[in-house]
Amino acid sequence: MTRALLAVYPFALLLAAWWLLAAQGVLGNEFVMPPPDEVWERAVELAEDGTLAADGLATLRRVLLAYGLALLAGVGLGTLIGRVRGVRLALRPLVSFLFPAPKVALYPAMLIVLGLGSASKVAFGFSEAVFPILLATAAGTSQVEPRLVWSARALGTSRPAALLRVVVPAALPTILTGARIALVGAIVGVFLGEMIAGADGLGQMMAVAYRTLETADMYVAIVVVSLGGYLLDRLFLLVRARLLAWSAEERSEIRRSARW
Amino acid sequence: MRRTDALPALTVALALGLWEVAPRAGWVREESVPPFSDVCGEVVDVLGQPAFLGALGDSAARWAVGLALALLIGLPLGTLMGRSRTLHALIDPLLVAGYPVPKAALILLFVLWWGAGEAARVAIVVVGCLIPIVISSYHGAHAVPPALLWSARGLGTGRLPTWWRVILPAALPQILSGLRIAIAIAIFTVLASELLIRGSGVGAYLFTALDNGQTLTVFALSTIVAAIGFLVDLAYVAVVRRGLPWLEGEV
Repeated sequence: MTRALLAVYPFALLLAAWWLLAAQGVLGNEFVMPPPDEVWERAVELAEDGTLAADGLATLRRVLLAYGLALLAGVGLGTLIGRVRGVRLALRPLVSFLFPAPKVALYPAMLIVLGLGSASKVAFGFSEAVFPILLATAAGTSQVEPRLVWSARALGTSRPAALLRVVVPAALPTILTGARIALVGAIVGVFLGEMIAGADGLGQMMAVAYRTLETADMYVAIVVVSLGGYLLDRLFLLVRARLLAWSAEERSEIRRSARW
Repeated sequence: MRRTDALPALTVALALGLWEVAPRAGWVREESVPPFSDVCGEVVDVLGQPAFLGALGDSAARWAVGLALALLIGLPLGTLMGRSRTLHALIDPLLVAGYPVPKAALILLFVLWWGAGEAARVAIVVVGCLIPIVISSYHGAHAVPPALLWSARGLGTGRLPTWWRVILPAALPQILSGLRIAIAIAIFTVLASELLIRGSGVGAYLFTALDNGQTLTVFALSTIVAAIGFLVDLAYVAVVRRGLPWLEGEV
């Protein structure tokens, strides 16, 4: 009961603050800050004529593609960096240069190379998402209990199989911490990519609404993308709880950080 | 010297070599990916342009002011959350709900509310990097050993001095790693918001080059900005390690 209240409370507070700000005209008139019910009506209109679903799905597809590729590349390379000295040494300069670099600065170059279509947005989302996964995987796999690997090897598991079936699962809690940060990274990358230059998607919907002064549409776009991000994050936590159910220690860890 | 010690230098050479050779050999179109040596020359040119340095100054000022304001709000809020269950219960759900919002996108709403001036451009940086600062100072303050607080309070230290001289120093390691993330997010937010509303700053400068089809300049600017992000992070870690050696590489 308390949990349900706590989950609803930020949205109730936000709605109340929004409604109050709009009614009082603190940030400007109804054009600049339409009240929530007006934005809701607009959202229903956009949902009925299908544009909201089309743009939302376009964005979701890109986010999932960028995130999936980032998981593959991040866990794959991260495991090699964590377990193979040669790979770690070889990739260290590239990773330590690119990790703190603001990826958005590379977006114009991505636009030139990949064009204005989906590919550049997926690349931007990927570049935002891959490093948290890669670094978490490298850290997690390098700290796996050596006895686990020795046992597997002694029982005849090949080296690649031991990586895949022992090291990665043992490092999973750490990997998933990075993967959670990466999920939001992928959403932010794709959405901003669409805003800066694009032909469809929620980001482009927001940018066009800004240029054509359809202010209610701007609120629809940002609310939908934020809500989508929130739901994907919740879904991620559910999946994580299932994946890590094997460890009692992890279970208490999850309960403690359920909201983080 | 072990054979593998040369590996890092080797990969860098290989990556830059590929960047040089691929366009020259026609593996990629030279109009879309200029070779590394050309980009290097352009980097030198761009760094000598007063217009670019002015834009860099504008961006840096927004970054610094926004980050400072976020610290001013986030440090007290986060540390208080760490010491008060009620405040934590009230604020934490808001942070969870605000976490997946693409903050940089809010710049368009801020411009609607406050116009395309400095207020909106600084506010977006504050919003962008507030959450990591609050979260890290919350975790830091939450983990302060109660014995430290009892001792200080028992010796007659007031509430504010306890905060300033016990809680804040004890929470410092976590705060400093949060600040490292916030610094990077602040750079990202400045650039992204400038790409969206143009006007002034490095983001706008970058986009003007893109609109004018100056591919070489775009690559040079991207390289410069990526290098700035890397160097700022490097400098931050170096300063923290030097200034606070007792942290033992925790940041």
